Amino acid sequence: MPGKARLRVRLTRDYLRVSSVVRGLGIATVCESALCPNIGECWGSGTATFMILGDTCTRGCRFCYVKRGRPAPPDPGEPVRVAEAVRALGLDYVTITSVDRDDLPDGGARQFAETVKAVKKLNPGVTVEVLTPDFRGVREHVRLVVESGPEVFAHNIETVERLTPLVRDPRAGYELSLNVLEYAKEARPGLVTKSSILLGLGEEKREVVEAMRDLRSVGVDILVLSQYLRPSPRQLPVAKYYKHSEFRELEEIGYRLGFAYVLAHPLARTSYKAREAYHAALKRLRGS
Amino acid sequence: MQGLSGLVEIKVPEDLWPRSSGWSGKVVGVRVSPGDRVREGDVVAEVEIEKAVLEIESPVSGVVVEVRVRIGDAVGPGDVLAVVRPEGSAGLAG
Repeated sequence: MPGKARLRVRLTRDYLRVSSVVRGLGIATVCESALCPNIGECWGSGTATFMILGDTCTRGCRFCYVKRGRPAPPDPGEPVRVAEAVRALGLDYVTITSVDRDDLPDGGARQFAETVKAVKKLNPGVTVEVLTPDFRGVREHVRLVVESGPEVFAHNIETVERLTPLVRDPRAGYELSLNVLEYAKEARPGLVTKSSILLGLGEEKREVVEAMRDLRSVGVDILVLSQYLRPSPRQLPVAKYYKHSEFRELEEIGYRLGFAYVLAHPLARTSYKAREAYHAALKRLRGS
Repeated sequence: MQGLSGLVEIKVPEDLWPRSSGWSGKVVGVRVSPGDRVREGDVVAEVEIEKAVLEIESPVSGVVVEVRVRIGDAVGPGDVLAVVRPEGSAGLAG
């Protein structure tokens, strides 16, 4: 019977190096803020996912462990510090995400754009993936981020349509998230787009397939399917642990629906093996 | 980690999610007893948190001199699970 993940805990030299760089530069990582189960593997292989615009979110999605509250104003030094961290870690692929910033008129879009530009300027040749909030569905804000030059634009739909009001903050929306992904693709048609669905929150298989179809209808290239793991008793309980065979089945359906790459694994997270997912997707997109 | 006595405390890591220390769990497995020889990388104890079961490894090879937890104990980051005298150490007991 599938159940909780078992994680070997060993803080290797590479792990401690990443820890020292991100702490030294005062950069938040979603790896820490979300209690990501892959932190040992990712930091141990020298990579991390940076979280900009602070570590306090204006929204309260019921699956998420990130702190909710009133965030501080954006730090103008943050883009350069992230760029320095990318250089210090020697990354050739970087993922940048953020908390929701409903308190800011642009939802944090400008800080995203500034960070992408700073990272690219200081690290020529680096590939950048952004995992963004919905910017309240404002097309111009999405465009601002896309025009800063990331190779991959990710935004998570998180769950199926029916469960969205239960699982996500009331300000989020299923249609709204689909629109964001569509706006990103429209802003730069060659842009690779990506979205994740958390499984185990009480959804039916047909609803998952429907969500996958909806993501394809707005041109999403990379799909991530993963098992919801409850971070603490304050979040929603796990309704179901999916079997590996069920992940394989959904992966196959994903490819049949036309995704260029499907990452379906209990411990997959949006940024997990992001470089591999991007290159595999690119190969398929260029080949077709 | 290695004190003046030469002994090494094996802890629930405080640095696993370095700036998130609010998590805690329960000991669901103790794999060693006092007097056991452990090698670096051997699992010493299993701690179940909401999200996963953490298999805590020994960072050194040596002999277990003390086990500080039992199955069912509540533990959090920084709590000592066991104490090991590293190989080649002539450290004093206690």
